[in-house]
Amino acid sequence: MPDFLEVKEEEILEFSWGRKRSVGGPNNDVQFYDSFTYDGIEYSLYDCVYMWADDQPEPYIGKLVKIWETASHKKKVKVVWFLRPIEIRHWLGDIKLLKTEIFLAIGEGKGLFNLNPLEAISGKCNVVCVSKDVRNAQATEEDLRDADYVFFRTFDVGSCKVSTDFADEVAGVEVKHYFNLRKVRKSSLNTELKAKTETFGSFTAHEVIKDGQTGKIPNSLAPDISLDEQINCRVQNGSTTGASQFELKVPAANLIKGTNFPMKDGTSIRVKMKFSDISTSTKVPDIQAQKKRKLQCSLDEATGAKIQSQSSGYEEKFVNVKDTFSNNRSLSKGVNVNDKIGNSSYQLGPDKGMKSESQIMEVTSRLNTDSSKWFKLQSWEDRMNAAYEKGTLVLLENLDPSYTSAEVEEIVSHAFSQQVNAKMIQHSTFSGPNYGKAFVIFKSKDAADSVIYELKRRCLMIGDQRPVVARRGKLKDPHDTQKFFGHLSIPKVWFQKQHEDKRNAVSTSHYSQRNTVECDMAMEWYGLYERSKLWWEALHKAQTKEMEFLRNQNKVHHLRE
Amino acid sequence: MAVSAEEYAKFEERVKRTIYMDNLSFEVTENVLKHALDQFGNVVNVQFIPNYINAQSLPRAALVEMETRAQATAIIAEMNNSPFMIGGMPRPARASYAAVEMFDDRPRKPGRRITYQWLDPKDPDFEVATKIKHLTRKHAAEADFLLNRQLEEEEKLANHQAETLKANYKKYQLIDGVLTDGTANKLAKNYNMHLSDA
Repeated sequence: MPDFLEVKEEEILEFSWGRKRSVGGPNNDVQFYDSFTYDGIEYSLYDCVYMWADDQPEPYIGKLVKIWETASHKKKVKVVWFLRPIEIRHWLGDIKLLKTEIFLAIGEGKGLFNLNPLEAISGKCNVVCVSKDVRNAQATEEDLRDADYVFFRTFDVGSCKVSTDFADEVAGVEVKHYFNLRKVRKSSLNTELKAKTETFGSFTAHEVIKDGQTGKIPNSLAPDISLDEQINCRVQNGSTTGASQFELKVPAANLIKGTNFPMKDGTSIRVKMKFSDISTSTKVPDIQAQKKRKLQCSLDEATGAKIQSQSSGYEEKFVNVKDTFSNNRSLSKGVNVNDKIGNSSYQLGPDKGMKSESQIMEVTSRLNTDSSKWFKLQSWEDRMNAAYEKGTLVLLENLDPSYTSAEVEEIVSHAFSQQVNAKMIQHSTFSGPNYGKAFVIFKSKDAADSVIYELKRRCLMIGDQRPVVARRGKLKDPHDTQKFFGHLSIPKVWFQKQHEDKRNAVSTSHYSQRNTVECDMAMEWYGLYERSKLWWEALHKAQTKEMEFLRNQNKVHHLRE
Repeated sequence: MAVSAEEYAKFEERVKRTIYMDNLSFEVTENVLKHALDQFGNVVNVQFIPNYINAQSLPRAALVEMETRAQATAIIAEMNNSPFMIGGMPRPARASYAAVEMFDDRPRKPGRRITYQWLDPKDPDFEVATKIKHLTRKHAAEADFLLNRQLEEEEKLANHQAETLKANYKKYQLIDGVLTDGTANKLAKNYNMHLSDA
């Protein structure tokens, strides 16, 4: 919570409560609400929201199912989570995903819902349910066009199973609140669905999705086709390999499109694009990286403006299970490195410094680091343990001890084009003064392996002549029991007898009195502390000397040149 | 994310009024520590430093932020002077000034530029860099070794003290027993001595 208080000091955003609901809690001092306005946006109960977490490259998505203010005037929300495919990729197997598909968390266990400070909300998210469930009001074309994400499947956080069935209640909330609200006429959705009609100026694109023979996307929709995909569709006159295909009919030629790209800060940039080459009907398999890259370039060219798909909060991804999510994010330069992780070699962005002529590169800040610093879904320790089991945990050594975790993330991002989570190990009594260490969690084992290999084969020198050393992250042995030496206990009987009257006065902490056995023994400890200090000082001194000797060799060598 | 110099100065102020507490047992919780130091000043915040890689029996360490630098200074001076027990005895807790690197949430230093460079095996600096890498590993192994020795020493001292305490305890128990079962009185009578009611 301390971090939370800090944030409050830093940014006080406009806030007001809306409709009141009931009063509850053990002392009737908790006020529930139906709506509120935060940072200029009105939120209501059962709205879907983005929640930023510092350590996540993308915001979490959740549904507000309870809003209240505690007796101590803390604003809280209960959020039932939607899971992105990459968060549960382990259990997805080879099922086909819709492009903007997310999964509703159900069942019981960690990851179903959280109680979060209301201030963690960073924006509204439009999630549309495309389930065929009769209780669900079928989404209209308009709904789908406005949707940021869609869902029709659930993920049981207890049993880790994906299902298309919805129970009557999810996290204690009636299921109807998860479905679409309005009752509208049912669209005729069978094996072939007319998913969407988009109108951009004079241009109309009909998109038809065919249900593939696998039947793994039964009667589902892939709404909200992003601009880039449409272009890709047209550019590519591809083969028909995918189980689900997008069929795109483009009636007009030579057209100009205007589209609004919503940006996170609320402003919008108008993008105009011109197309000349149009084929009437194209079938496209999965979206591929280069095409996406091509698009980004063309966007840049067309507008001169830099559009970050990530900063818009509208990043569109077709997560093919084979495809790697990890590289699917645009880096600060807008270059996507979408290589398949299946073949374990990794590539770096074309303009990154891997060309090896030993040029000195500078690590610059990522654009996308303004996320809230204090909202955490899962503790670092838990994630580290999970990463350790998956083999994605790497320990980097010989870093400058004063680097921050974010700086380490940037270094890795620049030097390896890998988006990672890093944590500098905090200094403590016996940490060497010259060596900073950091744990880094990679997105995949292959990525971790290749980084370890690369750092073994070559040298990554950071700043002041420090070659980074990497090894597979190893955590302390959990079987090793926690023992603390040096606190003794006296048998209870005697203690009671002697000190019956004093017992209440015994507190958990005290200074020892002189001339007691305790004080004598404490002095023995002080002796040990002092001796240990000398050992460590001697060690660190010797190590520093050795290191300096080597560094000087390097300098001498440079002088000779 | 750029951190302004002002923000960083604010953080440095926080570092200055923070005490680094070491040699804490695992029984010591945030609350216990807070109450222990609240006697001498106002504790603003307590944070334990997690131990991810070292042996499990390494004592816990924590950062305790006080309200003012003066309070922190006074506590550190006092604890260096007389042994302070938290949640057990006779191993005293230790206090010293916190350092920037101990903070998990430290902001980045304003204005710092980090550069990096890849060295290929054919680079003239490669050899020395590789040596430095080996040295880094060697140093880490040395530190590991010393840490284990340190823990062994601590265990040895603790065992030794436990023995001493047991011996003392037996002695007291013996005296206690002699007094309660009347043996002392009988002896006093025998030797014609007066036994004061101690």
